[in-house]
Amino acid sequence: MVFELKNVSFSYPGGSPGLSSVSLKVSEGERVAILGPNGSGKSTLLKLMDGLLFPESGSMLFRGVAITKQVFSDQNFNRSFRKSVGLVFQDPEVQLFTSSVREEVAFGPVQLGLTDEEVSARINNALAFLNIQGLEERSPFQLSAGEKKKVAIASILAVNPDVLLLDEPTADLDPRSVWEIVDVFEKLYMEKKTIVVSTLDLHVLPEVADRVYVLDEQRTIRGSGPTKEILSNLELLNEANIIHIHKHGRDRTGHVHL
Amino acid sequence: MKRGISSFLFQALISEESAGANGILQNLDPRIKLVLSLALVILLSLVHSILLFAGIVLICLIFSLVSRIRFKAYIGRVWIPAAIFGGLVSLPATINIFIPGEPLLVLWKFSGPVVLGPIHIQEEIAVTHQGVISFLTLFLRIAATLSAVILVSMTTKWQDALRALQDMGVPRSFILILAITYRYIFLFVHLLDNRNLALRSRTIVEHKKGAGRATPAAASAGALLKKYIEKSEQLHGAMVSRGFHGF
Repeated sequence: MVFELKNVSFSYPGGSPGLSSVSLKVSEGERVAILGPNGSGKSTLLKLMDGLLFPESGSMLFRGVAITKQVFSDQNFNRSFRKSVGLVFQDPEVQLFTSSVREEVAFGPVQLGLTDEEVSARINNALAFLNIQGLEERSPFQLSAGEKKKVAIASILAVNPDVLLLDEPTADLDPRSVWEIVDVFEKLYMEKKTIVVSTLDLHVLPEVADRVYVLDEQRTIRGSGPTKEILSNLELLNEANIIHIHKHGRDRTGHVHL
Repeated sequence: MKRGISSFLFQALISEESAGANGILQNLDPRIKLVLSLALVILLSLVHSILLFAGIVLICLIFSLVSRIRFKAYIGRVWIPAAIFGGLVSLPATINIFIPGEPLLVLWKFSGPVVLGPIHIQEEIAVTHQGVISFLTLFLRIAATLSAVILVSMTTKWQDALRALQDMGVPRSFILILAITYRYIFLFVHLLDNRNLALRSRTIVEHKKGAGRATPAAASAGALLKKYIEKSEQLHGAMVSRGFHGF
């Protein structure tokens, strides 16, 4: 088991709720989606799974090791965890902090202490994987939203983690860019990466995940199951405020807004 | 020409555009440009030769023309601060109230010596030879220094300058801090610019002070600070997530 969360709760400083009693499991090589409306705690959950935040209560295991603040003070564990798990943030602006794409993609491998040749090879491989060779010398200011997202993913892939956490990777992208990102998921799946993706995009869900956990506005798991099953459970999606069912027109015909 | 916050972004874009032009200085190795400009700044702070200062200003002007940078923008960036910080500040030094000396041009003549408390003013107020030399030395020193530094900044891409610093042995952590600072200044100026536009688009009447309400500018500054803290926390998280554990 890659991740095993049991009754994990979290509040932000000041008391605003982040997550409430969340339990979930992610196996090796699995593709799991966290589906939920805005403000349901998807980003918080991924940050907890990446060891950037720590639960107030409940337990969180990564390959059998409890993820706590203390365990990250062990440099060996920290290094091995960071090598294994990569998080792509929802807002690429927070992830693209250097002056060029090359520097950005190099950041992770440099932190791992690789040699210049190895860093160069990692950069080239990551850019080729995302099909964005030619952007190396560009500044983050000069990138489109889709390119920024791809560079953010490349900067994580350069570390070569076997577990990828992606926070709404298709948010704010035009349709073409969305499907280019979906193609990247397919390639990651072929490479047997474990993927946990948060999304509220129901159209891409079957392409990026085999299993889904549904978070609701109470920031707790409302349901889970295979993607097809979850997508056909309109009652669950409606209860979690992910879809909108309404009636209008003279005949009061109901229909679903996805 | 854009004004206000947008002007900052506009000026920065001009610099990047100029740095990408196919000119003599743009084709010069950034390391050479950085070393030469640093040496020049040190030299200019040590010598007192008006002729040397004027010569450097002239050479920089010629290089700005042959390097195909936006001449008007270059002149503005050099001469406006030079006039304010060098000209206006040192102009009073030209008259004999501050620096006594050999009169060059008499501006005012009194009937006799004037005493204002502890201040003794001579019979005539005049521009002095020594005062003009002091004024020109300070003014041209500032103009020459700015001419060289602005010329290098307008003919060198930011990322090339950072790479040059790295090649010259400047620690990677220092360069990373520079890069992050530059990047996020832009990000927040852009955010502030958009907030300003959003505010203007919703402003029907000018906001009146009082009534215990924060002004839109104060509210915007507060919101920006909050956003800044939030982004900086996320940025740190993004760095830690990729293995960063301090410099």
